[in-house]
Order: sequence, then C-alpha cells, then structure tokens
Amino acid sequence: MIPRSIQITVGLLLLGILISGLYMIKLTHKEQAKTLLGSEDRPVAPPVGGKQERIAILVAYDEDRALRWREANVFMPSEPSLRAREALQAVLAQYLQNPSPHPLGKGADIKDVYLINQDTLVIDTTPQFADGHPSGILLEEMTLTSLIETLNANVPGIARVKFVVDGKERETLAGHADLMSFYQTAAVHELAKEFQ
Amino acid sequence: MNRIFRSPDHPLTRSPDLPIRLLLLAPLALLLAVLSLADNEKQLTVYTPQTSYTIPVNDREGQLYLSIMDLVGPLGHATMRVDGHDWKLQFNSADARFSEGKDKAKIRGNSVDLNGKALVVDNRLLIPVKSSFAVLSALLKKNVEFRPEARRILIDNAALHFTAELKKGDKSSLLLSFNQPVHPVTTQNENSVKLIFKREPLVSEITSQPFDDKFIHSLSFSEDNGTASLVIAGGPDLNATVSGDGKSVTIQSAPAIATATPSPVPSPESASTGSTASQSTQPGIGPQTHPSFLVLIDPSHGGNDQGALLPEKLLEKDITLAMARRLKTELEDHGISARLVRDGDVNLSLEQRAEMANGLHAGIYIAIHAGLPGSGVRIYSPAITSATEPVGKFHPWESAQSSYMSRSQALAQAVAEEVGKKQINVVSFKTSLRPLNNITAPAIAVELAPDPANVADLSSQKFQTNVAAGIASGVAHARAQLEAQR
Repeated sequence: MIPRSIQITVGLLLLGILISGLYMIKLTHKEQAKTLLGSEDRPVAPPVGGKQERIAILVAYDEDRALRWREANVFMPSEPSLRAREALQAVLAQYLQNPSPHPLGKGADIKDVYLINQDTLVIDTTPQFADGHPSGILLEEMTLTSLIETLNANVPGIARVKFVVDGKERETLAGHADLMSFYQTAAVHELAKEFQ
Repeated sequence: MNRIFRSPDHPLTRSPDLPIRLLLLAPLALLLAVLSLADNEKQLTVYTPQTSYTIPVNDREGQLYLSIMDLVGPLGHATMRVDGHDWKLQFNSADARFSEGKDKAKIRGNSVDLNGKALVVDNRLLIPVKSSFAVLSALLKKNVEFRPEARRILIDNAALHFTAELKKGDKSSLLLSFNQPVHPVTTQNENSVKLIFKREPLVSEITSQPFDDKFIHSLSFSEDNGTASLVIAGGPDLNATVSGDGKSVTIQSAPAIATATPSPVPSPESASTGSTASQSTQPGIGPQTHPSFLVLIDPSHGGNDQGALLPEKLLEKDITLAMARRLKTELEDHGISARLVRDGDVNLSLEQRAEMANGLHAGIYIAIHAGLPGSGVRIYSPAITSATEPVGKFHPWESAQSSYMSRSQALAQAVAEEVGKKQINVVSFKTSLRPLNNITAPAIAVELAPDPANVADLSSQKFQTNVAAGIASGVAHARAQLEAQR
C-alpha cells in the first residue's frame, strides 16, 4: 500500500509537469507569432522591373563648373515614382564613383520618392546626402539642378519637386541652396541653361 | 464767378456738343469718385518688431471684418484647409479651427470668442476685426496690443516712442526724437505740418501738447485707420527736416532751413531729401546723400554655422565678415550708408537676416559668401523657383523677392561690370539662394571664389579690398536707377 502522502506528492508533481508543458507550448506559439509579425513589418523593396533603357542624365562637373548631359543604362520601371527614383540614383551613382566629377559624401542616396497628385515629387534623401555635401553656393546648386533636370528629362509631368532629408525638412542643403521651397521644374530648366 | 454761373449765351452752354462733352467728362468723374473711395478705404495695420503691414477691412453685417489669412499670413507659415463648413488653419506649429457662421473658434485647443460670426466670402474666411486681438494672442502666444479705434495692432511690444523738445530762439524749432529711424509722409498746410507714419508703430500717451511760442504753437498725436500722425501747428511756412540717421525730425519755419534743404519730406521713399547739410559735404559724394538708402551687408554664416570649410583651415564665416567690413568702408567712402547684419561671430538664422533687411527697409541687400571652385568672383541674383502662389496682395515668404527681381538683376549686372573693371574674373548666375528670395529689396550675393591655386586670395587684404571697391562702385552706379524705381 502506497502511503497517502506520497500519492499526493506524485499527483502534485504530475500536475506541475502538465502546467509547465502547457505554458511552454503557449510561449512557443507566442514566439512564432512574434517572428511572423516581425517579418511582415519589414519593408518589402519593390522589385525593379521594366526594361533597360538608355536615359539622359545631367551630371555636374566641378572642375569646369558646368552641367553636361550624359547617357546611362538603367532599368526603368513604368511606374513614375519608381522611374524617378531610378533616374535620380543613376545621377548619384556618377557622383559616388571614384574619381568623381562632383564628389558627394559616402552614403548619399535616395531613400524614397513620393509622387503626389501626379505632378509633385517629394524626394527623401539619406542624412549623408546633406551632411556630407560640400558646402558652397555653386556646388549645392549644381547638385539640385542636375537631379531636377534629370527628372525633367525622364519622368514627364513632374511640375514641382521638394527635397527632404531623412524624412524631415531642412533649411538648406549644406548652408546655401534652399531646401524649404517646392522647386518648379520649369523654372529650374531655365536656370540650368546657365550651367551648360 | 462767370466761370461758374454761365449766361445762356455762354459758348459752352450754346454748344451743340454739350452732351458729348458731358459724356467725355463722365469717366473722369467716375475715376475721381473711385479714387476718393480708395482714399477712404478702411484698413488695419499690424506692427511687429521686424516689419509692419496693412490689410483691408470691410463692413459686413454691421461690423468690420478682415481675412484671417491676410492677418496671419505675413507673420509666419500659414496654410488653410477647408473641410465642409470647417476651416482649419495651420499657423507655424499651432492649429486653429473656424466654422462658417459660428462665433467661436478653437485655437490651440482653446475656445476663442470671435465677437461675431465667421463669414466666407469669395473663398476667403473673414473674422470680425474685434476678434483680431484674441485670435493673434492665442495663435502667437506673444504680447499683443490692440488699438481698436485706430485699427492698429502692436505685437511683441513693437512700439515706437518719441520725445519733443522746443528750442526757442529767433526762429524756434521743434526737435522730435525717435528711438528708431522713421520715414514719415509730410503734408503742409498754411499753419501746420502733418507727419503721417504709415509703417512705424508710433505711440504716445499724450494727444496734445501746447507750446508758449510764436512760431510753434502745439503738437498733437492722433491715430486712425491704421496710421499714426503728428500735427505741429504754428506760424506760416513750417517745414519738416528728417535727420541723416532718420531718428529725428526738426520742425522750423521754412526760411531758416531753406539753404540746407531744398524741399520738405514728400514721401517715405524720398524722406531723406531733407538730409542734413553735414552729409552733403562729405568728400566724393557728388549728389546729396539719401539717408533712407541703406545698403545692408550680410556676412553669411557665423557662430556655429561655419559655412564652407576652405583650404588652409580658412572658414567661410571669417572671410565673409572681413570682406563685409571692407565693403562697408568702401561704400561709406562713396557716401553710401551701409550697415552689417553681424559684426561678430554670432548665430543668426536665415529668417533673422531677411527680417532685418525687410525691417530696416534696406535700399540694397548684399550677402557675402566665399567658396570653391572658382576663378575670381561669382555674382548671384535671385531666382524664384518656388511654386508658392501669392495670397491676395501678399507674397509668400518664399517668394517675397518677386517684385524686386528685375532690380536685383540690374544691380548684379552693375556690380559685375565694375568688379570686372578691377581685372577680376567675374561670372554671374541666378540662383535660388536663401535668404535672397525672402528680401523685399534689390538683393544679390557675392561669392569670393578664387582659383584653387590662389586660395590665399580669400584672406588677402589686397584681393578683398579690390573686390569691395568694385562692388561699391557698382552699387554707386546702380543707385540712381534703383532709387528712381523705389
């Protein structure tokens, strides 16, 4: 005959094991759910489709203090905002190579572009784009003009362009060129002629 | 009398063309009527320490109304969004909601009594003038003084005070001293002179001050319809003379000052025609100095903002200050009043620089920069590339320069020509550069940009003086044209 006290102890142990098992199963499910949620939160980069095109990009040349049209092979999607992003990155790629005709800070890039009402483009740049930009009226003006004019040439219908840095407004690019205003692409087109 | 009460055989009365003549006179009468109405247009003036502006007010439903965007637009960044009957105002960081037909508004979460219904006319939200004080106080969180009878609003203690001193003698004179430069419009009557202050927040606790003098009898202060006035009554032919620095006005009988001042002060733009004789005798001036023509020189950057980092450990902020000081000296040698935005290593925002230029009603604004690459000097005139449209008669802050673009370009051209004559390579550009686009005066930027092989030129006294002499010469050449267009 098993003493009653041992029966109770064994019963409590079995109950404890059962409860612990259930708790572990619950924790496992919770972790799985967290993992799934986490993967959904990550931004999904849009696949860059489209066909390769030979596009015109306006490139700044510091040495000559001039902007010149060049050609670049770029996969250009049909969707306008993606097209704009690819065209802008093609210009920045020129500036980030070594040697560069118009050196920018390491990490200068386009984070995102937002097309509003089909005619207004907001360009969000990385912090390095502004923080690492050489300071000077001409240098800053050439950067903005080359980007806006490249948009003009490759994404029809963009009438206004606004630059933000890391999602925030900034007064100037590197102490000089205005980043608060919405640039009218037609007006910039006229100004760009002075540099060519 | 014959010209008024014509006899039946008067040529004009007899003329068969009378109906035609009357028809021709009708538009003239209409024009006079319109001008008369325009003169009586009701308005309200807002003064801040930096600037002042006047906005129209209209009678609606038995009281005066004004547009909320007219009222707050010049004070900051204001946008209005319409949602049904609700009008949502975003002013800088403050939110306000007005509802058409309602006499209450919600500003920064608090209910504000408008003293009347908010109205919508021509897609503009109108609020009673009486509510201006409450609305501005709630939006700005600053000290607001509202003078309802005079329709004047003074923000942030923007008051201009004056003192009056009677100097008795063979020809007594009254000296009015102000704590800031003034540009009054002067009108003369038979026995009085009236100084009208349209831009200045002139205030006075005393409305009338009698004098026991045979030439100057009394001084009275009044304010009405958004302006303040001083009337000095006295003997015949009283005349007003504004001092060189604009901080004092002397009232005297005309013969005593006729030799020094050819004419009284006719308008704010030409207020300085009555400049003091001492200024007109400065060497090398030629024509008489115009005290209200002030060149404001802005040594860009300063304080924490070092500007461009140049070779040889040179900082742009130091070079711009040294260059600005040289330019001031050169301008003064040409008899042109000049002032620096900063004369030390201080932090100044771009907004503050523009506000200073606009508040001083500068005749010209010149920003000094330094940078590479280059081969001499670059002259920039403003280009408005922003897409913001004017709201009514107010230009947005981003394109405040728009009315002065052609004058800025003329100035840039004159400066480029004169600097070029100093054997310095000059290139001109148009640019969207802050704060040029926020300045309500002809504005240019001058960038010292020597060849990389001659970087030492940036801090060279010889180079800077040479460039400064060229700029000053260009300003002197452009001045007459610019003043004529003011």
